[in-house]
Amino acid sequence: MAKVLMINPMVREEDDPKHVPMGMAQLAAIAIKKGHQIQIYDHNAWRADDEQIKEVILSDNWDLIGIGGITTAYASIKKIAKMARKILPGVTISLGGGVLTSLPKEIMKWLPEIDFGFIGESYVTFPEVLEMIDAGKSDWHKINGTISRLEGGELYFSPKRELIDNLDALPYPAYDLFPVEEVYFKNSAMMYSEAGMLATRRLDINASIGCSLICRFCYHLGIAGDMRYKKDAKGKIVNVEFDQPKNYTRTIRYNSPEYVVQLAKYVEKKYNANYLYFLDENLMTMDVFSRRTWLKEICKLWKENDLVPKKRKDGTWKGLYWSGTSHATLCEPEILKTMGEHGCAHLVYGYEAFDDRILKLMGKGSTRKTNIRSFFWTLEAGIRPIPNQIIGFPTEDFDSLKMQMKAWDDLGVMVKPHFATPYPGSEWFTVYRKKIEEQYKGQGKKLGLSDDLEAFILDLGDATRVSAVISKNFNAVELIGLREMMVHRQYEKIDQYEQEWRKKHKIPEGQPSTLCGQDNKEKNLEIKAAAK
Amino acid sequence: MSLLKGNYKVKTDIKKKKLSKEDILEEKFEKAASKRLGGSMVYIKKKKINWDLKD
Repeated sequence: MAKVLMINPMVREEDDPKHVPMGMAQLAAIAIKKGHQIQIYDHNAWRADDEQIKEVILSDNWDLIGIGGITTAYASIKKIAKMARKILPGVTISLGGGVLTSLPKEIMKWLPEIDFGFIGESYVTFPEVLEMIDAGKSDWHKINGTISRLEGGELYFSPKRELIDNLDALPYPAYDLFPVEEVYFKNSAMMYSEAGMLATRRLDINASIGCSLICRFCYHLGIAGDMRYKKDAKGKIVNVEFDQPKNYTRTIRYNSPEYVVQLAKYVEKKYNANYLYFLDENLMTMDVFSRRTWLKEICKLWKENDLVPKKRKDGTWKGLYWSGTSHATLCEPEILKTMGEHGCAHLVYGYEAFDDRILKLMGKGSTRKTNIRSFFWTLEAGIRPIPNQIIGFPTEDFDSLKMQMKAWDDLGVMVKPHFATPYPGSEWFTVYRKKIEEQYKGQGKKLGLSDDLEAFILDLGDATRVSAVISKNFNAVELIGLREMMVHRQYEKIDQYEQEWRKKHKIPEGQPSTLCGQDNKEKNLEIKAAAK
Repeated sequence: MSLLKGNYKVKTDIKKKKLSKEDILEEKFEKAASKRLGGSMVYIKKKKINWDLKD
């Protein structure tokens, strides 16, 4: 049977490792179930030095070194792929995860060390690759859902891999293959609620895949039915495509409540866990799709399986507190109340902004009103709402920013907003790609990279700092300065700067503070579009 | 602590390199200090220093 080394690259170097990579944990479980020999080196958890990575790579005779990760892990992936190829010139190296799916052609060009890549969901593709290894072959191009190199170096897209229908058919994630005790439990605390802060043995689960919404900044990288294959006139696949203006596709899938709660029970029993974090994109999408039965049933079974947390005198508890992501418009008071009564400690809301014009253009499916309404519903349910905020939207102006600050004051929100970032796979990336490349012009050559886009990918972080700017009104320096003043509620300083900004851009008082087109034509068009 | 975890025993078990007490303390201090950055709070990350700097 195939002998595989799976490597989880480092992400967010500045932060402690907090999450077992669920995709890799599921793929490992699938491979083990089929009898293959799997080892995992979790570099994000261990963060070992180069000498030790070398020892890991040399520790066995691998049939495959499989690296997988998200786009922001690209720097680590590049380093590990280069090391592996240098140490073991003949070994087969693959790459999977969002990083490869979002830009398959570019990544294969930037990383010649990679033999082939997994595009989109790999629950079926991965075991097929291992079967091929067992058969002594390396015809990766014959397996659907891959990109590989033909003789002569040409890149080849095999046909699209269809998504699986039944998520309940998946084995439980192979948590055992990650340093849960040594690393992850030590970083259990989540500073979003009292229970989260006190969590000492937290694990994550993923109970659904997909989201019905079309937020311009969001990306699903092929697992939410959002990916389409682009063909040339002769029918040859030439690339992948994701959300584009007026072109969105979605597939919603979720585990049955029975599967979810049995997995939760397994995690509680086997790992003595006391907190479970749902990594799902949007729990409320699933609730709406199930006609409001999914979360209700999960809560019911949570209770029947004795998972609802019961506090002990010493401040610890028996059972599992839990949390996840909600949505301002899709949530309802009744389900929130039920969730609160069954141990839900916090819910993340991507409120992003409090200006209806910006929210509409963002495709968020929410308004200032639903943001505020859901905030109070959640608090009333005994759950802490976590209101994520973003600044730097394409047409955001001083009015939008002040509206946002006013809402923070009204709701008592303490926040340091993220910067609007065009991640690969998002509609923003597709729309603003040229603008992004212009901002990194010359950086590729300067850093010894293939091109300027690779410099952008290496610069991408978790949006807590500026990378490519897509605002039409503010540059990077202005956004950083404005964020700082917003965080400290310096309304007067922002007013002062607005005066300077108006003088500089020759926009008189009384006119909207925007550079979007002459006489604000572009803004007016957007307002009209939003109104429609 | 093994750096590799799997469903079989590897030919060579790779253990996580043990840090000296000084290194552990340095790592702990730098991590704690980095969380307090701002104002008068600054610190030196010793491992990133270019000791051979001439100018």
